[in-house]
Amino acid sequence: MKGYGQKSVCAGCFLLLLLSQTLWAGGQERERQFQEAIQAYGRGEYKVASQQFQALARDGVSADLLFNLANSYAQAGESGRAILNYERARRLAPADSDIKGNLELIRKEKGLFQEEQSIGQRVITFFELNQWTGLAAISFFLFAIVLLLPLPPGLKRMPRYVAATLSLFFTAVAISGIIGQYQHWNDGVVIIQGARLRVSPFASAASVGTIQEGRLVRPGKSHGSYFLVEDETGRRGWLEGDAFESIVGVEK
Amino acid sequence: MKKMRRHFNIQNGRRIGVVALCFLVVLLVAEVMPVQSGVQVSASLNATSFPIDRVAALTITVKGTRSFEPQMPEVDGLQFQQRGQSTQIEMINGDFSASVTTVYLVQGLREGKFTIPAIPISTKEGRQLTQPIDFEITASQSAAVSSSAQSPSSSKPRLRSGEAEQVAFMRVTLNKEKSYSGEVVPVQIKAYFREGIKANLNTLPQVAGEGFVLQQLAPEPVQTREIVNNAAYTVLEWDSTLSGIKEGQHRISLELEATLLLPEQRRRSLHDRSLFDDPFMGDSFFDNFFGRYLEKEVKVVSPELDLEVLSLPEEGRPQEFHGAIGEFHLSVSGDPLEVEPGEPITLTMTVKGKGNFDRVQAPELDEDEGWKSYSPSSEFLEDGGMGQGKKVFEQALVARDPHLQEIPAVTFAYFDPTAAAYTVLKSPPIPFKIKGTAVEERKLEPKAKAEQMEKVQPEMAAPVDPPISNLAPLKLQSDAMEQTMVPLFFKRWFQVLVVLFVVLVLVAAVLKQRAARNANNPRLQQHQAMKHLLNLRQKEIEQALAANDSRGFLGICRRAIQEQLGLLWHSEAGAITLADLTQRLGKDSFLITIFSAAEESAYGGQELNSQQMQDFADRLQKELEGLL
Repeated sequence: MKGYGQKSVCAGCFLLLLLSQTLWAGGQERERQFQEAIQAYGRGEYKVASQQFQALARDGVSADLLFNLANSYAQAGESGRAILNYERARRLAPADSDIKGNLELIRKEKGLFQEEQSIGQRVITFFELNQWTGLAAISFFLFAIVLLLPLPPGLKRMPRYVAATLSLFFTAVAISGIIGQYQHWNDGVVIIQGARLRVSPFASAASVGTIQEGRLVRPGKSHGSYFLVEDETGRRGWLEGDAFESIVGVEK
Repeated sequence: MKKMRRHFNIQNGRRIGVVALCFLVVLLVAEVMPVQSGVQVSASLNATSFPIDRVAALTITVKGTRSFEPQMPEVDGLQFQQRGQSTQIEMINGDFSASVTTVYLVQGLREGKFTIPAIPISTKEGRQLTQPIDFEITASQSAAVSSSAQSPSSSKPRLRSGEAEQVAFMRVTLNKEKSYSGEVVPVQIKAYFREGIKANLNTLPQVAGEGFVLQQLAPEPVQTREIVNNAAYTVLEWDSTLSGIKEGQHRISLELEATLLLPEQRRRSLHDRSLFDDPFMGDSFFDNFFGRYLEKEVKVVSPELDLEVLSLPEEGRPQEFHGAIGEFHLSVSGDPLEVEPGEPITLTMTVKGKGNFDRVQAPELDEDEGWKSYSPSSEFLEDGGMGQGKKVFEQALVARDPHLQEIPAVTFAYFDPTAAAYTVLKSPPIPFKIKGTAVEERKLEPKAKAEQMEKVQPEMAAPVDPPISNLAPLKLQSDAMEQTMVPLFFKRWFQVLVVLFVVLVLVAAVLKQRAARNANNPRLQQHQAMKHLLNLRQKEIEQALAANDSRGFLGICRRAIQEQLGLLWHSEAGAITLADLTQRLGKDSFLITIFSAAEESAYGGQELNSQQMQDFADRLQKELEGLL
C-alpha cells in the first residue's frame, strides 16, 4: 500500500512537470508568434500582422494584444475592426492612455464625430465600467471604515460624518456610472463599409441611410440575420448581423 | 363637403333703400336750393359692338343743370329712340349739384362702323357738345354663333352655342391639347353671370369626371365685367393648373354649382322682352326696388375640351428623376464656407422655373461619403403666374472627414415636355475650408490616398483607407491572457473579495454595536473591569509564586481583594480595611484570612512557604471568581 502511494505521488509529479513544460512551451510559442507579428508590423506588412495577432487572439486576449491588433487594422485601412479592437482593449485596460489616444485619433481621422453629450453622459463616460466598479468598491470601503472604526480620542464627530457622506456620495455616483456604462457593455462596432440601415429586417426593405464603418451601435431585438440597432447619433434601423461585431464578443 | 356659399353681388352695389330715401328728400329740397354753376356734358354707349338685331343704350348726362334739350343728329343707318329722362341731385359737403340723364336706344339699320357725332346740348347756362362715339354693328346673333365656331380666335367675346339663352355659363381655356402624365397645364376658368343677377356660389369650379387633378382654386376669384353679345356679365375668373394622371385621350369639362337670385319681373310684351335683354333695361330701378327674387339652384357646366395625356418615356429616364415635369434651372450655394470641425454648412438649392413644383424634390448629393446630411427643408415661392416660381431647399451638412475640401455636386433631373426629353442639372462642387486643417496636408492627402488605394486594391476586395500617422506604437510585451471579457463585478475573485469585505463590515458593525450596548450597561462594565483586574493580578500572583516572594505575593493578594471589593462596593479600593471585610463579608470568609495574613506580612514580617502560598492562591482565585 505504501509503495502504491509513492508511485501515485511520483506519477502526479511527473504529470505536473509535463503539464508545466507543455504550458511553458506553449507560452514560448505564443511569445514567438507575438514577436513575429510585431516584426511584420514593423516591415509595414499590416495585413500580415493583423492576421498573426488575430490568430493569437483566438486562444485568449489581453489588452496589449488587442491594442496591437487594432493598430494593425488601423494601418491596413480597416478602421471598423481597428475601432472594435481598441474598444475591446479599453475594456481590459481602461486606464491605458495609448489605447484611448489611438481610439480618439482614428475616430477623428475617419470623421466619426460624436453627438454633443449631456453633463450626465459626460460623467458616465469619464470612467470605464471597471473603473467605476473599482471606485464604487473603494468609496464604499471608505464609507464603512469611517463609520466603523472607533473615533480617535480628541477627534470630533463632524469630520467623520462629512467623510462618510462624501464616501457615500461617491459610491452613489460610481453606481450610476456602472449602470450607465453597463448599458453600453454589449455595444457593437460597424466593421464594413457602406452598411445600410433599413426600415425592416429584410434585404429588400427601404434604406434609412448608410452607417459609417467604425460607428458604435447598440443592438436590440433581432429578426433573422438582422438586428434592430441604434447608433451613437440616435439613428435607428435594422442592420445585418454581418455588418457589425460585438465588442465583448457575444455571439449574435 | 361643406357647401360653399359665397355671395357675389352682381349689381353695381346700389343701395336701393338709401337711394330711394335720398331721392325723395333731395327732390323736395332741390326745388328751393340754388344749383351749383358749371355744366358738364357726356355721352356714352354701353357697347362698342353689337349685332344688328340688338340695340345699344346711348346715355347722355348733363351735370350742373336740371333740364336740357338734346338735338339728336341724323346718322345714316342708325335710329335713335328716346326711352326716358331722369334727374339726380347730390349733396356733397353741403353743396348741391344736379344732373339729368337721358337714354336713347340706338338701333342699326345695317352692319358696319358708325360714329355718333357730337351732340349739341342746350341748357339755360348755354350750349355744349358731347364727344363723338365710334362703334360697330355686326351681323345678327344667329350668324355670330356660327361664325364664332368657325373663327374661335376672334378677339371679340361671343356667346357660344347654348350660351345665348343662359344667364350663367362657363368657359375653360387650355393652352395645350396634349400633356404628359403629371405635367401641369395652365387653365383659365371663367364663370359668367348676367349682370343684374345675384348669385351665390355653392362650389368652386371642379373637374367633372376622373383622371385629372385641378389645383386648389383661390376662394376669391378675380371679378371683372365683360360685354358678351351686347349683354353685360359679371365674370369670375380663376387661373389654375390641371394635371392629367390617367394616360389616354380624355374629354374634360368643369362645373360649378350656384344659387341664382332671379328678379321676378312684371309680365312684358314681346317688345318689352327684347328690351329686358338690354343691359340698361335689365337694371331697371323699379324692378330692383319693388321686385321680388326667385331663388334657383343651377349647375354651370363648361363645354367639353379634348386633352390627350401621354405617358413619360422610359428611355433615358435618369436615376435622379422623381417626377418633376417642366422647365427648371438649378442654383446651389453653401454657407458658411469656412467652418470649424463639426460645424454644419447650410446648402441652399434653388430650383426655379415652371412646372409641377409639388413633385420637385430636393436635389441629391452626388457623393455623401464623409458627410452627415440632414433632411432638407423646402419652401415654394410663386413667381410669375400659375406653375411658375422657385422651390428653395435648405439642407444642413456636416463634414465628418476633416480632409474634405469641397461640397459635392448636386444633381436634379426633370422631364422637359417641350423637348420631350429628360434633362439632368448638375451644380459644380463648392470649395470650402475646415479650420485647423493644414492646407498642404489636405492637398497631398488625396494623392497619397489614391496611391495607397492602388497598392491595397489587389489584395482586398473593398477599398481601404490610408495608414494613420501618429498612432501610439505597438506593445512589445503581451500581458496576461484572458479568455473572456466580463465586467469586474462578474469576476469571481472580485465577488469573493466583495463578499469577504461585506462579512468583515458586518462583523465590525456587530462588534461596534455590541460595544456601544456595553458602554451603556454599568453592571456589565463593572463585571468586565473586575474580570480584567482579576486577570492582571492572577498573572502577578503567578510571577510571585514563581519567584517564591511571600511578601510580594501577599501584597498582590491584598490589592486584588481591595480592587474587586472596591468595584463591587463602589468605594475606593485603597480605603478598604480588614474591619470593612469583617463587617460586610462575615468572619468565615477566607478573604479575611488572606487579607489578615497580608497585613501581618506587611506590618509584622510574617512569611508563607510555597505550599501555603499555592493554597492561598487557589483559594483567592476561587473566592474572587465567586464575586463576579
